[in-house]
Amino acid sequence: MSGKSLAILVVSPHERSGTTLIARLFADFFRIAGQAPLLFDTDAQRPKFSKYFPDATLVDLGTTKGRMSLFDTLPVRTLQPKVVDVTHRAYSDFFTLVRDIDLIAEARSNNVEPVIVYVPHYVADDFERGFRLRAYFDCEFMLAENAYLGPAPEELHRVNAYWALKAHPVRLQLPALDPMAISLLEDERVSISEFLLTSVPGYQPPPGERPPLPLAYLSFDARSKIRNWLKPTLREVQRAVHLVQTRQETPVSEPQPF
Amino acid sequence: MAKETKRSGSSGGKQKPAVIIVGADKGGVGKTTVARTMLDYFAAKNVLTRAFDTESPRGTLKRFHPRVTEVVDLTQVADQMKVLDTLHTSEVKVSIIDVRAGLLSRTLKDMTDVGFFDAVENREFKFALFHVLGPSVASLSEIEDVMPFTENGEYFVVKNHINETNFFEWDQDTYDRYFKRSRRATHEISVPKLNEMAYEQVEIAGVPFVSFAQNKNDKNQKADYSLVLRGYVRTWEKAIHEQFDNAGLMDWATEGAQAS
Repeated sequence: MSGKSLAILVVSPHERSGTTLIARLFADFFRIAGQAPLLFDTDAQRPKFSKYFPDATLVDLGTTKGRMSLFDTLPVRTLQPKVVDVTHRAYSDFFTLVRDIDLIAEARSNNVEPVIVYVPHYVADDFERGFRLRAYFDCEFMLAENAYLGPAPEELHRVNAYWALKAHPVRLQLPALDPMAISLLEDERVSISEFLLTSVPGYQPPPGERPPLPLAYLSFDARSKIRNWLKPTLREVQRAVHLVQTRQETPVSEPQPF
Repeated sequence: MAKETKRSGSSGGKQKPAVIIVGADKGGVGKTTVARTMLDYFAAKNVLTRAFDTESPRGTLKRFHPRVTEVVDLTQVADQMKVLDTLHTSEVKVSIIDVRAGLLSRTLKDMTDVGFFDAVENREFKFALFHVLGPSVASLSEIEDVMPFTENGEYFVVKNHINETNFFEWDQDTYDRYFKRSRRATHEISVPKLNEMAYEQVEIAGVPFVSFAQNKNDKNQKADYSLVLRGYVRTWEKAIHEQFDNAGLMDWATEGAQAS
């Protein structure tokens, strides 16, 4: 195994695709695995991802300095994984810059493997875009299907790009979560990794520490719903990450039991 | 004599020497920037090129391309000989002269006096003028002044958008009239704006644009330039080189090289 690391780029051409939630899941998965991922929120107008992770870097891709703070860090050789929540507003500019600066080659030369996690809506255009994205960039690609967005309509079955991406070997399938639980998870005070670790029955905070805030106000029912969604979802993230890590001969992230 | 690059070149006996003058009568329009992109262009095409920097004694072009550039004072006979008398003997067939600000008309007149344009007319040399324009109407009158010198050569109008200026947009007709009057074809090169921070960092690095894009310092060792800024430079220079290609610069400069 080499000293490679992953740079997870969570992208969607549309808003309300769940990119921030997916980016959180990756970030929290790495944290549960005892790693300290470098996190980037590219939505300078309406930051969300960085609200959950105060140590995340907020990047304004509209400025040269902002672009440098992200793209000069992403290819840096480090064993820490990196997770970027790419706002839909910067989607085109982001990939234009990735192409122009040849980020993939630069990252590879530093043992960093970029992974494009693409979250489409169930419309033909999104699958065609994803298909072109996968063809253009010679790096790991992961199709993320968010059940929250509903089932694929019948007409999409006539689109070649849809079947091409559905057949992609690395996929991430997020199960649906009911709207009430979603609103709870969207609470900026809720940390997925802390929630999982502390919601285990019989959990006792380390001596001298108070239990994290989220559990203090969530009902037992709500906690149960979230936990029942989070566990299989994080296992799905774990499966997808392990698949990429195995393909890339990268050390496998081993999380604590959750 | 300027030192020559070690790259293999397309030079040969049947290739006529090509002289490219990059100039303007106005200062600060980016002549040296254009000359630098041109040196990178020919180097990328493996064409041996030498350059003369007339910004004596400082030499901005020489700072970025020291191996192929010599600082000369074209008002001095000795330096005129250094440039022109070696055109036939040098193995390097492409010579780029970066003319100091404000000296373009005078340089062209001096070259007339020494018979350079007669030689061009007799097809002993090929000549191209890259006339870098500023956005003002004064630049338009420059066109009238210098165009007669390009009768037997090639004339490239270069609009350098380095300052993000709008060129003659207020009166495109005036601009067009200058060229209609000349009743001859001109090539137009539009140099896009390069990100200020990228431009500044290349200045500080003191290396050719291509070296900066390849993350190399002046000793050709790996440097630590910003990936983003390198990307800006690479994309910017690629856009200019595409325009050189479209204008047929490479074919013009190396015509006859294949036969040899």
